[in-house]
This record gives sequence, C-alpha cells and structure tokens, in this order.
Amino acid sequence: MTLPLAMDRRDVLKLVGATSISLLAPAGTAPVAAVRSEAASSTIVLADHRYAESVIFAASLERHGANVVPLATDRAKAWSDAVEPQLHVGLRSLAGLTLESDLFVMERLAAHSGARQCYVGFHDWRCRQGSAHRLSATIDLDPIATALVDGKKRWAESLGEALGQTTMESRTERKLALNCPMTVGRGPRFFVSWLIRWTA
Amino acid sequence: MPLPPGFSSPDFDSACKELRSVVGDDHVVTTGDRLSGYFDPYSPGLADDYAPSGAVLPASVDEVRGVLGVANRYRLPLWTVSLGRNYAYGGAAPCLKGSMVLDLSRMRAIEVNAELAYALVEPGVTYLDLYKFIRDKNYPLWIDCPDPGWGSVLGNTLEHGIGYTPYGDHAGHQCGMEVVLAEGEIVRTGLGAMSDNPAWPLYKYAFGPTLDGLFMQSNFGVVTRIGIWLMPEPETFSVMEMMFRREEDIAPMIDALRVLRLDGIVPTATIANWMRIAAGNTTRAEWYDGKGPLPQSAIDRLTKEMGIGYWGVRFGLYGREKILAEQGKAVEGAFSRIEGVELGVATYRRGAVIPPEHATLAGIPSVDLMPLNWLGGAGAHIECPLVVPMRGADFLDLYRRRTALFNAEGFDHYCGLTSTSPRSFINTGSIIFDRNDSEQCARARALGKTLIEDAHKRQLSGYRAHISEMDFVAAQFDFNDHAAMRLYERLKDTLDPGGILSPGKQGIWPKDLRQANNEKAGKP
Repeated sequence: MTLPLAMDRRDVLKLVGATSISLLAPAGTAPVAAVRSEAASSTIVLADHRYAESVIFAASLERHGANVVPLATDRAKAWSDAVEPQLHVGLRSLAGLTLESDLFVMERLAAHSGARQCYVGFHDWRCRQGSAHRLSATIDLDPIATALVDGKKRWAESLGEALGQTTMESRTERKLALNCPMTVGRGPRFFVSWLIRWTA
Repeated sequence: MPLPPGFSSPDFDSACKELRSVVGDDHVVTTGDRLSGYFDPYSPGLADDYAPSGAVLPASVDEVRGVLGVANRYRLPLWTVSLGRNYAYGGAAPCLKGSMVLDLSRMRAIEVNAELAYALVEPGVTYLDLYKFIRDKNYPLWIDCPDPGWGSVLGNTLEHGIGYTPYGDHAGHQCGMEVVLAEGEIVRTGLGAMSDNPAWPLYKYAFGPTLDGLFMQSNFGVVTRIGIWLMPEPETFSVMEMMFRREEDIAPMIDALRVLRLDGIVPTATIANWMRIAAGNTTRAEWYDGKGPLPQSAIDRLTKEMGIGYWGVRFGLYGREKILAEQGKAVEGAFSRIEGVELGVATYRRGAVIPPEHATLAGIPSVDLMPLNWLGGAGAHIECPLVVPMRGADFLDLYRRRTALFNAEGFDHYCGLTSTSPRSFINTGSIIFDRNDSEQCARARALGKTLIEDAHKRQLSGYRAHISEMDFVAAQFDFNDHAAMRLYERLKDTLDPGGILSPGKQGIWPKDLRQANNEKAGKP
C-alpha cells in the first residue's frame, strides 16, 4: 500500500487501522540467509549499547559486512572519528536503529558531504497494544515490511537483514504504514531505523 | 517555494542570476534537498509559514558586499544566518516568508593568539572547529561552548548564547567585531576602528560609543568576524555536583548559590529539575506509558530508581589547587545546611582526560540531543528562556506556576537554570514535542504563548524566542509606550534604508513592512 506523500500522522494512523498486515507480507517468505552482501560492504552501522534492539540490528548488518560503530555519548565524535574518515575510502551508507535524535544529528552532519536519507522507519509501541510502523523510502519497502511482520520478537534482527540486502534505489519516495501485534520490553518504546546513502 | 514578497517569478530569476554572478552557480540554492535544509526542522507545525525562497552562500566579505548590492537593487529580503543551527528558535528559517537566506557557512577562517588568549572567527566556524583547531596546535587554552556544540561561535555569540565555564557569557567575552552594513560599507568596532590597532580583540571600549551590542540579536548589519576571549587552561578543574531531594529545596539552594556567586567563589552554575536530568538519560515511556504529564507516583519512582534528587546542581571550579580546596570548603559549608543534600566532587589536573559527562564544563563541545527523545516520535523543542532574579522564594513560586502551565497542556516541565551572571539566571523551560504530531504541535504553540504571557504578568521576559514568537515577545517591552522599539526602528531605517536585512528579527521590521503590518492590525 502506498500512501500519498502529503499526509500527517493522523492520516497514517487512520489508514493503519484499515490495513491488513497479510496484504503486505508475501506468502512463503523464506528466512533470510546470513550472507555477506555487496550492498552492506561499504556500510557503517551505529549501535546504541543502551538498547538491545539497536545492538541486535547492528549485529545483523555486520553479518552482511557492515562495520559496527558504537554510539559514543558525543554523537559528533562518533561522526568525526569513525564515520567521516571512511568517506575517503569508500563508505557509501550509514545505518542505525536508534533514537530519533541520532538520526537528526547524523543526517545533518552527513548532508554536508552530499548524503541523503533513502529509508526511515518509525517503530512505535507507546500507549498501545502491539506496535505501529511508518516507513518511508526510495528503496524497495516490501522486503522491509515483510521483515517486520515476519520478525516478531526478532524484528530488529530481521529488519537489519532486510536492509543489509537492499541495492536498488529510485528517486520516487514511497510510504507505508502497518500495525503488528509484536511487543517490546521496557525501554524507550520508540525506535527509528534509517539508512543514509552517498550517491556521488 | 514561495517568492519574496512583491516578486514575480521573472524578478526572482533575475535576482538569482545576478547573485550567481557574485557567488557562483553552486552557491545560490532555490530548489531541492538543499533548500529544505533551510526550513525550521523543529517548527511546531508552522514551517511553511516561514519558508525561505532560497539561499545564497557568499565565501568572503567582498562577496557579502556583492550580495547586498544585488539585494538592495531588487529590494530582496535576506535572512542572515551563520550556520542556521539556531534550532528551537527557528533554525535557518526567516521571520518573513519568502526571504532569501544569507548563509555565511562558507566563511570559516580562524585565527588564535595563544599568548593573549583570544580568537578571531568568521561565521562558519563551529565550536567543534575551534576546539579542534586549538587542540591540534596544543595551545594551553579552553573555549566555552553551548550544549550542543555544533553551532557557530559567531552566531551563538550574537544571539547572546551561553555556556558552562567562567567564560559562559558569550556576548560578554566577545571583543572586536567586523560588520558589513546594508549598503556595503565595512565597519570595525571598538579599537578596530583604527587601522591595524593590535588591541582590537583585547579591549572592548574605544573612543566614542560602543557599537557591538547594536549588531547582536538585531538586523542592522551583517557581522563577518568577531574576536572572542579564550580561557587559559586551569591548573586544576573540579566538578561539584549536588542533589537536593525536595521541590522546595530550590529556594534555600538558590539563596546559598547567590552568595557564592556574588563572592566570586562559584563562577557559574547550572541547575536542573528531575525531568531535565531524567530526559538526558532515559525516555518517558521507561517510566510511564499513559497520556498526559507524568503522575507524581512515576516521578517518585523515577527519582528513586535513577538515584537522583528533585533538583541537581552542577558547576566547575577552576584554578590553583590550594585555592580550589578552600573554595570547595566554602561550597560544602553553604549547601550542607539544606537537609538531605548529596555532594560529589571530581577533580582533574591539567592534561587529564575529561570524561564526557563533564566535557561541557571544560569547554569540550559535544552533540547529544537525548532530551528530545523524551516523548518519542520526532522530538523537537521550542524555547523562550526567561531572565529571572536569583531569589529562591520568588523562583519557587514561578517554578510551581510554570509546572502547572506545562501540565495543563499535557507536558512535563523541563526546567533548567544557568547562571552566567551572579545576580540572575537564564531559566530554560523547554517545550519538547513530537514535530510529526499536529496535535502536540498545537499544544506546544499554545504553551509557548501562555508562558510568555504569564511571564509578562510578573514583569519577566524571555531573552530569545522562536521566530514565530518574536513579535509577541518584542511587544512585551512596553516601557514608555515601547520607546525602545521606536529607537530600534529609527536605527533600522537609517542603517538599512532598503529594509533588506532580516526583516522581523527580534520584532524589528523595516518601514514599509511596519506600515503594512500596522494597516493589517488596524493601527494608525
């Protein structure tokens, strides 16, 4: 399901209420193999060690060849020490499953070197049963949605696997919203998964 | 994208063509992802009302003059930013929709004099840049930085920004300024008015009136360089941290702190309420997953489990070890009279590695926006920080009132106090909200307005404001029927007769727009 680009959060939630998850999940989805993919070999993934979900997501992308960088208290230091120097030696993508402020910071620091966000997913367990997910991307969203739906308790790992295998990108942005019955433990009850790419 | 007011598309294209001839094709932005970077990312649902038409990025003073020449010919409104990271106050977005952003981020020159402990910086220099420059050259100097420290040194200073060391009053430690006036004339203030005077960045006052303040929080010129004083690296640096258990402890704590500040024992101090401490480390959902403000039971559990007080106080002591030991005793003596206070001290000698939690007190810039995740979603905040006298009972009364106002709009009260002057505090009351949630945005706007109105009833005011509230805050300054604003307007009309520079900044509008605004409001 593709939502119109100009919409506010209420529109999304309204549509989520009417969404059947099964429509989004192709039948018989095979488990994702932990193989080193070409797409992730020049990727850095940030891991926030306060949250198990973030670490699991990073480990999942690491299995696809990404380098894991722990998020230091100082986000600018993580950028200048670990990410920026890699731009000169072939870094193409930066990813994370983090709190939203980390995406805000990284997106702005990366913008100066010509990067742009090609995927963002908001994962929300606040004040609700189950979870709500809003995804937006210029990459193929179907495998990501499938990963979330199929992933259940292993959603962070499954999401990392799906993102580790993305290759194709277009300029057309697509949005998608879905509800999943999965639960999350005590913690922020809100995460953002994201992928930033350098195209030049 | 909107056009500048009164412009047709061909007019705008023509102006942009001329701007490109000044700064180069790549440095005039009118479309795409690059232009979206000039919108206010923290806007509480008003981003389109403050949308720029484009941005122009000069790289030198000569190019700034060229841009101003084009803008005057076309009457093109320019909104000046150093880097545009004035988040919570509008970012790079202009007060007047359709203004073109004059982005000075390409001007990045740094000069440091280690012997006399000062730096000269252009607008594009960030605190991170200046810190790295000094560190790489092994100069025994510290900077003072705000938190987060990714903004412009010049921009923050002009906005009266603050930091956490004895040099935390940034405007107070500025010395020497170069300004391009709207019609292109270059002026240097203070002793800089004399060619090559070496004391330009050393002594603030010269022969005649002091001009620097006119170009801070104003739209009378384009500041292209400032001098700032740097702090010699101290022999010893001690961090003193205290926790106070009860809400009402703020009154005796402030009164004790005032004495220490006036005595010169404590050079600066920051106070945080439970939420400011908690939001720096956790999110709200970890303590309560219902709607509305946190109930008292959740606050009690939070403070207990985190091992924090209702209030925390933190400041640094800087200097010779023996002197610090005596200062430390005075601090302990002053605060130990408050029941239940817990005091912690960490001491670092010159050259020691300072851990991240004490970095800003040592002028080490960092970027961590953790408090914005408090509610989840796409966190943002707007601010209208008050200047409040350092009197305990008065502040407790104000705090309780503001807590009630935050709670009435469904928000938790994020409260901080920073003392960069010994007689007053800057009282931050951040309104943190989800910028993707239109209902929360509306409540954040309503709360912002209410807080400003309530402060005015107590004869208090903010010293900065979001672009959407600049007119409203400016209107509170009502002595002698707004005589100060009338003076600003006379200066504006004289210094910027074309009315091109940052229209509406701090409520100061050029003549034409003033008249149009008055007609709209039915005023004579």
